Amino acid sequence: MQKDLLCIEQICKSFGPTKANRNVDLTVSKGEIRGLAGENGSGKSTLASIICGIQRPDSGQMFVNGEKYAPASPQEAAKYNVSMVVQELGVIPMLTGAVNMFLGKMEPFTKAGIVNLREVEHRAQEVLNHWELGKVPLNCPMGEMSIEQRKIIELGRALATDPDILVLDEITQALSHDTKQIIYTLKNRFQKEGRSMVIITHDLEEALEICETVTVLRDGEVVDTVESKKLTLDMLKQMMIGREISGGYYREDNSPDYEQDVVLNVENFTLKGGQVSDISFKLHKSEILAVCGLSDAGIHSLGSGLFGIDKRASGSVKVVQTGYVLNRPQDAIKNGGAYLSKNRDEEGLMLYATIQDNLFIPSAKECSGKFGFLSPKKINELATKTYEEFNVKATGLNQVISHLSGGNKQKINLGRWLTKDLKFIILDCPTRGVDAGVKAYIYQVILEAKEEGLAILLITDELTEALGMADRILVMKESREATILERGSDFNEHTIIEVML
Amino acid sequence: MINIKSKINKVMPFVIIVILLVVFTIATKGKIFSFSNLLTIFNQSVITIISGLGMIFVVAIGGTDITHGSLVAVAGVFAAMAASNVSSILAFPVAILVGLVSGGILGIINTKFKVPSFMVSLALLIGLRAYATWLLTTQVVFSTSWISSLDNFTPKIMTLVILGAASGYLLKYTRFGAYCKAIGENEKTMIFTGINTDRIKLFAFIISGAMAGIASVFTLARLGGASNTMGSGFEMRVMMAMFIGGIPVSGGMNTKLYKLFLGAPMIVLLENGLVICGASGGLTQLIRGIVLLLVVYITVAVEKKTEVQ
Repeated sequence: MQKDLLCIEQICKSFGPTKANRNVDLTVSKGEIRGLAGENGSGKSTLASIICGIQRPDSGQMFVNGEKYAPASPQEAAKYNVSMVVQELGVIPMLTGAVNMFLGKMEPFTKAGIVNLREVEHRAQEVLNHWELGKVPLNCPMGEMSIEQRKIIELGRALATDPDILVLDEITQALSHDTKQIIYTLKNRFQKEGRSMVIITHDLEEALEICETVTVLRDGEVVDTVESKKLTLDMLKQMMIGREISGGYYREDNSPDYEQDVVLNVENFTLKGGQVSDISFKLHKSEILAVCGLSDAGIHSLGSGLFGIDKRASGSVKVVQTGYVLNRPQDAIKNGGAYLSKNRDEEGLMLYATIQDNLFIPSAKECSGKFGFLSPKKINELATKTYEEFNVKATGLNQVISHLSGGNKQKINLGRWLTKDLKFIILDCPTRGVDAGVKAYIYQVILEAKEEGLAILLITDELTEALGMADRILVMKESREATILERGSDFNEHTIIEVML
Repeated sequence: MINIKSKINKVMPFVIIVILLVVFTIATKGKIFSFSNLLTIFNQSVITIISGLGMIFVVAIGGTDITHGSLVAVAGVFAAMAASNVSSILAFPVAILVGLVSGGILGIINTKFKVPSFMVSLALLIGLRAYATWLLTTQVVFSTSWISSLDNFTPKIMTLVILGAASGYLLKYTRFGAYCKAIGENEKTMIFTGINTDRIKLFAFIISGAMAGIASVFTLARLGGASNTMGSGFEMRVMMAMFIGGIPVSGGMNTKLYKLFLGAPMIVLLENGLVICGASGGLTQLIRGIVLLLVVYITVAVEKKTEVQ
């Protein structure tokens, strides 16, 4: 018993008719790095939030260091040295990074009701240094930081309490390749100092790499806890889904395969903010052109820039077939283009609207007839078709989407565009926050769309994704083009990383 | 769970109206249902609804337009002047034009300069009221007999049916209406869907202004002339009608026209019933405020409860 830092017995939790956790038992010993794996909706996040006092279990008990532990709030959990970084960003955008890091923990810095902000900043920097979290601006408002920087601040906030148990919910998703190193360093420190981590991640390869043991959840129940050394990727997937999955994730051919017709011609494309400068490429029919780069290389700005969200300084984006030059999002849409933002919940979907409303809005024009009449029948037909075609798992078209899992949300997000007659689409991290099953499904959908002649610009943080899907890869470095690689012999992670750095 | 939420949202206004009816039927011993009283209720809600038929688009996009009170005064003064100096036919066109211009200014400042619509319309509310007062210092404006004849059941119900149908069609069965509601849900989504959201928003403000213009002529008809207190507090009445009827304060897909049609008579019923019961004017106001707070609280509480998974 003494060796166990955290011990969970028979935890149950339901939300209405949904049983999120059923009789979950879990023991984490000192210095252990534990992974939680499972499909969307398997109850990982619920379990994590129970551990951290965000939610209370319906029944069951927990022990920390052998002591009974039933936190009513994250503050109470912190007293037991348990802290967490949540999946959804929980920061106040108007306040600085340093203030956010010590939000609700200001007492030590307060004298006669006045907070010594310099002291706060100083402490925040100490936390960053102590845990080797790298460089993050502490005195600028969080709203102006990149998602990655915000995540680091949140990590700092969790670490500031000097926790023995740290729970990370999907943190690595927001981090790019180079920043992930921070997590690796942190993990080694934790192991050495006899602290424990519970890591939730969709990236299974990473789970196997970072964690010593992985607990697999399915439908709210623990399937098994296995040492990572004894697991392969396929075994893990099989445990999560409960059945064998056949075939690979990605395409299997080893040579580029696209038509000669150019759909989009990008010349010397430069953004006003300088995030992208002097990029030129041609996007062909039936081509998947992946874009890779380090976190500040500008790959995401390239996507929103081409679509016309960010202001362009010079260069041009031309639809070759019509000769139309794209300036605003409206132009891209008119010319059969579409853009899937990386920030699905903020910029993609209407979270509090129904599935049907979300599905038809991009196709509103196709659903309307004379006098701008928007036919409820056509809307329903279109929504039903998309809903069925993309296999959305929900109670029906009238369900509000905020409660759907990430995978289902993404199916809706992607489906509402692919159901249209498109010429090209810009996908920014389409498999982000999506579980293994849906991920495979999305790849299959993308490949089908390619077969039908759609030109696809696939912006991605995952090299394996780019390698597995693309005909060509555009590697960006410091907002410029580093190289364009074609599918073939030297199409591997090693070559790309070399160019990226 | 989600279905319960939308059901409560739908049923709420009906429940409240039934409660009000039952309470007042007992309290006034049925006097509330007398023909003349029903006509009073109709007369007092109709102008609120007409104005609301435009404002609902601004509410749908998640914006605020509190210019209506002062706008009714300014448009009323211009309409009365045009009618008495030139011809009664001009009353509506002039009033609508004033509304269009005011809505246009509000919309342009809001979309081009990104000033929140609440602030812009607050400024306009103050400015327009001052303008109306200034216009009326040098002259007294009376409405014409044609305008006064509008204060009858037939023209009012006809206007209500025609405008109600037009506004309902626009909100429910056109792309414009769908886009307005979608902007209220998430404006960023609409920008990323390639919709010119600024244009949609501008139109919403313009329609709102135009409807306030039409409402001003009917106000004129009831008052018999333009005064500088005309329409004072009217904007709050229109908003209250919408929110009491169950239209979400933040707009979006649950913005529905029937809620306005229920909400407006509800306020009148409340005031009217209290007056018949012998309550003083001050007490009526107090109770009106409390009821609004209760209704909005219940709507929000219901939504909150279902939102936490």
